[in-house]
Amino acid sequence: MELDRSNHSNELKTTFESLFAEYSDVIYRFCLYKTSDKNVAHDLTQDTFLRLWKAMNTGAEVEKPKQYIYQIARNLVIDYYKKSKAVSLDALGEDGFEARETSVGSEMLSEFLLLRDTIEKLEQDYREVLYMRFVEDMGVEEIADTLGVSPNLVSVRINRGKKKLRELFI
Amino acid sequence: MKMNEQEFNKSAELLRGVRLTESEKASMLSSIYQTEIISKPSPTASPFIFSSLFMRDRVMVAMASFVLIVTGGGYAAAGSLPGDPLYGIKVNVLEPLALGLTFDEVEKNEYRIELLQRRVAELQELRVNTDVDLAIEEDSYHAAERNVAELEASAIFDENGINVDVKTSVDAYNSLISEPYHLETKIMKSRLVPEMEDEEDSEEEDGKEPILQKDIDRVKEVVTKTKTSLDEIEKEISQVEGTIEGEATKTIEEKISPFIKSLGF
Repeated sequence: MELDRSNHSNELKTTFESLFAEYSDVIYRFCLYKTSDKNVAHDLTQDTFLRLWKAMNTGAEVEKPKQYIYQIARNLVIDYYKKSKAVSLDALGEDGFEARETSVGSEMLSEFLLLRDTIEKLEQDYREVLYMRFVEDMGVEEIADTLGVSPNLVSVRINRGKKKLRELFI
Repeated sequence: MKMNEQEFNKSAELLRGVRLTESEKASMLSSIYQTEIISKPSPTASPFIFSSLFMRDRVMVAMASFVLIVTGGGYAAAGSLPGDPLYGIKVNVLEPLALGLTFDEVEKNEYRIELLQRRVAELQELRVNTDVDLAIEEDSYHAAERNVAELEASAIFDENGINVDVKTSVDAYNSLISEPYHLETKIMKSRLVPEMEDEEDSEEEDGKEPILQKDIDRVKEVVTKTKTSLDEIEKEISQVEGTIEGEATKTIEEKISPFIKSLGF
């Protein structure tokens, strides 16, 4: 009985670590793109995998891990923005505001910010599809699988999104 | 600030190259594993904990009701009208609780009808004493709608889809409330459909072409023809079956009889 539990725990750990190895960079980039803050992106990535680990430990069956992990990260980013709004500017003024140290250069971050601003100008339907296509270099099927929509819909969104994106360029 | 296509592609490529370092990944994994994980719940629920949300909800409702009754809030809520702050407690806590504590199905249905009649009485009282605005109407409507939904689910309507008590209450309610909030039961809706069809039919009858009758005759004709064809097909099949059976028996006998003779039977 004890042996079974130990085997199960090892299996769980192996599965989790393979998911972590496969998706941690992807999720980190996604969080960095969404927040433009390396430390926040780091924390959100850790929280995403912590939630996945907890879910796996409580017996949740994760049928589509990529879709599931992305959804956790998306929710955490939303929570982060909700909490950020709650921090008053007065509190920032009193405590002082120090720029976080990041290994990603500030020039690079401003480029990411510009990239995000450009994509975020589009309607909701196109944003994630274009991010996955251009930044993550994902194929149509992969995007469809990650977002849980049909490949046909993804194709349409990519094509229309590209046209809309071109209109936004100088 | 705008960017051109080249800059966009360059930024996308840059971001694509961003990765966590191996030490960052190792530290992340370590932090994750150090976090205490709640163990998997046992498939058999412990009798000492209210593990399901359903049970928790019920317990919360019961506790809230107990507090209300003890503090006299329940009494105040019971007399509240749509638009009152305590009205929500009356229709969402006290009434469902009373319904839950009624175990006989007939009594339950009687209580459901009583609740619907209560909605009518509340509106009547409000109409006499105050101006009924949309917020009040909405409050009342949500409560009445739930009562009707419960009545529908309890299937107390007769074969013709009529329950006099329900119909009278719904009619009375609708006469007291503005049109967007009129109650409509599923039974009433289904009864409306044939009536509307009848009206359409009568309009058609007024015209020169009795289209429906012609269609019926045509359908009858097709059915008769089909039936005749089916009878013929059936007859042919039975004939063929007979022939096949006869021939098969004959062939088998022919093949077997020399063999039987050779065996000396």
